[in-house]
Amino acid sequence: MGAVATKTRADLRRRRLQSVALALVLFLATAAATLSLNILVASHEPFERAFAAANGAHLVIAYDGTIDDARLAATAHAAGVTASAGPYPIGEADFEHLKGGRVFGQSISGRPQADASIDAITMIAGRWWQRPGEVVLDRSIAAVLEKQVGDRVTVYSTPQASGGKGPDAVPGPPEAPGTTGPRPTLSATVVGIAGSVSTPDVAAWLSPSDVTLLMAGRPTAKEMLYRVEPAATQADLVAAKARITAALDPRAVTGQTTWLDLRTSVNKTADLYVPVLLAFSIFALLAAAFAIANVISGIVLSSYRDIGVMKAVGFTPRQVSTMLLVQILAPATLGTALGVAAGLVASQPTVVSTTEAFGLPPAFAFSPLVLLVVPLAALGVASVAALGPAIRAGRLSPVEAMTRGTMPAVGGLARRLRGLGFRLPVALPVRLGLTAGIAHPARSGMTLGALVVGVAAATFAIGTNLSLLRIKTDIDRGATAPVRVELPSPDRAADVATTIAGLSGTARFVGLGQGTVSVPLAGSMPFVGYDGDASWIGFPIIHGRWFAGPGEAVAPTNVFRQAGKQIGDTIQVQGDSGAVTLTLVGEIFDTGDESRDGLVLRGSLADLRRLDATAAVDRFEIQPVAGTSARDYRTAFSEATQDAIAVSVISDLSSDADFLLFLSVVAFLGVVLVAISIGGVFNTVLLETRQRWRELAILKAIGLTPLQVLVQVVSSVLVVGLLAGFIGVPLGLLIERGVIAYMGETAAHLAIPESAFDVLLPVAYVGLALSGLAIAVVGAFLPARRAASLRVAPVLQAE
Amino acid sequence: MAALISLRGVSKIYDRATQPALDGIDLDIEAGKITAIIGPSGCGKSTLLNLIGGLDRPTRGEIVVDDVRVDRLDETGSARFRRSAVGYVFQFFHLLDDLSVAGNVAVAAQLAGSSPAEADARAQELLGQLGLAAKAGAYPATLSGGERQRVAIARAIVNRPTVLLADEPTGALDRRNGDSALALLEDLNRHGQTIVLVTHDEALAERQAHRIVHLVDGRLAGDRFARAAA
Repeated sequence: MGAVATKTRADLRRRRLQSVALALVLFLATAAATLSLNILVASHEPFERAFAAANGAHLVIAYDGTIDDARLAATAHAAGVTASAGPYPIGEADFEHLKGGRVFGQSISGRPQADASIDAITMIAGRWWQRPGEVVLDRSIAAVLEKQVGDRVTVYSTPQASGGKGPDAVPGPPEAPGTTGPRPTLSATVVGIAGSVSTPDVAAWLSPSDVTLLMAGRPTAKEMLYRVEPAATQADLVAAKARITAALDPRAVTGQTTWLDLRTSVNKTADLYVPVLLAFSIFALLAAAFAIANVISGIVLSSYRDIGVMKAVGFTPRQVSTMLLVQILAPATLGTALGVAAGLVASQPTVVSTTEAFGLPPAFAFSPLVLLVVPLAALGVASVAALGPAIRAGRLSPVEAMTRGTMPAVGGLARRLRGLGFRLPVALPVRLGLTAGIAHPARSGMTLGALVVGVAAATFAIGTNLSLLRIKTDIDRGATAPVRVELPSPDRAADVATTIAGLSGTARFVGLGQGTVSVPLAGSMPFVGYDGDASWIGFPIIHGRWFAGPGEAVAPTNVFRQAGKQIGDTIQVQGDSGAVTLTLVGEIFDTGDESRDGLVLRGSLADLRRLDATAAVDRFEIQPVAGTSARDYRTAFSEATQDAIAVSVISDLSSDADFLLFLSVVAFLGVVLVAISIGGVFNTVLLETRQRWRELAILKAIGLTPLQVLVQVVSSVLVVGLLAGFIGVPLGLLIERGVIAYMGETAAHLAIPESAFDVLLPVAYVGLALSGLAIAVVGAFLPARRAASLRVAPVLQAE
Repeated sequence: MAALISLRGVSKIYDRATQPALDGIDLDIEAGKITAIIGPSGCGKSTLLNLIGGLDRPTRGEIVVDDVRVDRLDETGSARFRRSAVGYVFQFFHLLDDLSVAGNVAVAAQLAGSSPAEADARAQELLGQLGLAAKAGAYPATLSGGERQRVAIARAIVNRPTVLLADEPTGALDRRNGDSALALLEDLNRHGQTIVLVTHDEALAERQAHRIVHLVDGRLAGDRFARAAA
């Protein structure tokens, strides 16, 4: 093996640049694949992992606050209960926003300690509260309020006694007498930031006495957490709840959540990431496969003459094949190892943030399966690409090998193509380059493949990001109706409307009421009635139009699907007070709070009152005048109403940090894939120029200048570059369309409006189409420069 | 007669080599003659030819070809110089394998500024003169050594160069083809072509050249007129 090792080392040294380039392609491909797949696995079933790690609560039950603590504590001894926590008070409060205004109706909990035996709280920063006046914020609310450990936060008693929003909201007790004055406030110190698997809706944990203070003497609810056996199915949990509450009054339970409900919700959101990350993983491995196959076949071909000499000297076929394989797999393995490590490291911030984005404490670092699959796939591709040519080369006779190495391997087709190319009406160096590029159709095809993947990936990344940004804007309706006012009671509607109309910053506003109705085949769903023109409210129209008045309604995709209806069909809508026939005039992109599982009807308030005689305006949506920010409007409204009416800016209720992180990951992966394509072209052109070294020397000898040589070499990739643009852009847009449509369907059974895809200006399409050319030219430039500076005499005399 | 090619104090040292490939060469070459440069293997003959043709640059000294300071030309300048002033014939022909015979000749003409049609016509004319008209569409791999050398000569003279540089033009040929190639060169010289011929074969030099320059270890060891000059 000494001779084999010696020769192999010498070949690796001689082909240093090529080895480095091959290793680099593998590095980028495996890094991108590892990054994508690691995030993908972290996004897949994140809840189960976090739940198991935190000893999550199978049941979270809220009880009437008047029930004695001892009686509630006794429920922990029910059959099947293996661990419990509580009882402790819970409630709602408003939090002052750093930038002014408030975030309303946030859940607060008086849980006394972070008990690790059940729903172990993950402390992200700081510590648990120890005394009144201290608060631990949930990660999400901390991001929204822009608070850190050590900051002060002002917490207000909420003005409305509501247990939540939407049709499932449990109406709270009426305002107690004497509570129309200033509401209790608490100025607390943030001592910790945490996350809870089982109670992700809790915005803050504080002392029971502080909770009681903020609930302003009204009866509080009390909460208990339970771990039970068995707990695998809803039936198990229903039975467990029955055993737990057997000794209590049936009206004692005011709310509950099961771990299965939470799991469905979290995993559904997680599934959104699947198609994007999977697409990038496939892109990365495909791009690498094309690049690797091209380079490897070229390395083997260029070694034929060497092989002939080796065999003539006495190397066996197996030794020759081994040397070729080692030459290829050594740099490939190095690149793969470094790439997987880099991808693993690069994925960590996103992996941690992804699990946190689901309201879960981080419980995942990497997937051993990913660390196994990615290198196997990458090295598998390299091995498969190298094995065939290496074995064939090993079996060649010395004479045949030397002959194939010294004579051009161009068949009749290649010659005909070159002949045609040489007649093109362009400058000579360009002509020479174009003919060189098309003379090897198979190699050009693989280069084209690598370029198409790069262009498609770049198009996909840009298109997906812009589309997601457009969709987010549509979801937030930030441009049209960014301000929401919630009435403490419907009888305040008239004077609040007067206040809104009287503000100089009001451009448009409309009152909304809500009820629950039933639609044949689709079942129960909310009906939102608008008291006036709401066509400006900002829900994108997918098909049809906004409703014009009574007798018409609009709905999201799932309503049409479930009810088996199309635009223009009528539906018989049943409410508590009667039935109404409505014509469905529009399919809208509707992710409003009111929508449940993609089911909601929007129509006129008049129709809503016919369906539910008790329905009334309970909130307003407002569009400020141009030039007035939503936050300034909110401040003005708060001042006009002396903070007595809840007003919020919709976008303030969520943090964009995780969304932006996802977009940045998508952008980063797009850049990496373009780099892989560039690397693929670089490798191929490097190989081509090495094979054509003699030809280039001859051309320089007869008068081709260095600049002309550079032009010639770069021209060899012009055709594939242009083709890649014209193939890759539509491919990338098609994949983007499919992925975004999947995300809409998975998230909320929604079709995506066409406007979400109409995000690129015409000039951008031209730019993307030319991106293939740009990638090809960038990849070819360095080898072209190298060729331009080759010294003629040593090359020709070496012959 | 004024020298067409003039070398003054020309030396060439390759990358820290202890022995210069050429050392202080002073030489004048007349127009219209065949000058042979002979010497043992490694004496610097090909290096001298490369310097005259601008394929390489001297470490020291001046080289003037047809009033052009070749030693001062950059890469672009020397490429342009070679297009019209120099025709090269190599020992191993160095044809472009992916171009046809006619294409090999025409590409040199196109580099010098001819249109594709003009270059093609000129190539066909030359090939006809050299007895290769029937091979115009063939590829170099299918030709014999002698035929390839004739194609190389056609390429070298397509632009009517000031000087034809031939580096061991018969080194890869058998006796018959070698004589045929030499006869071709002689015929070109009769029509006024200046030729600088490198060979290790002194007898060949005696037969073909007007003047023989002898190099040993990079230095001029002899300079005399040959029988062809008589």
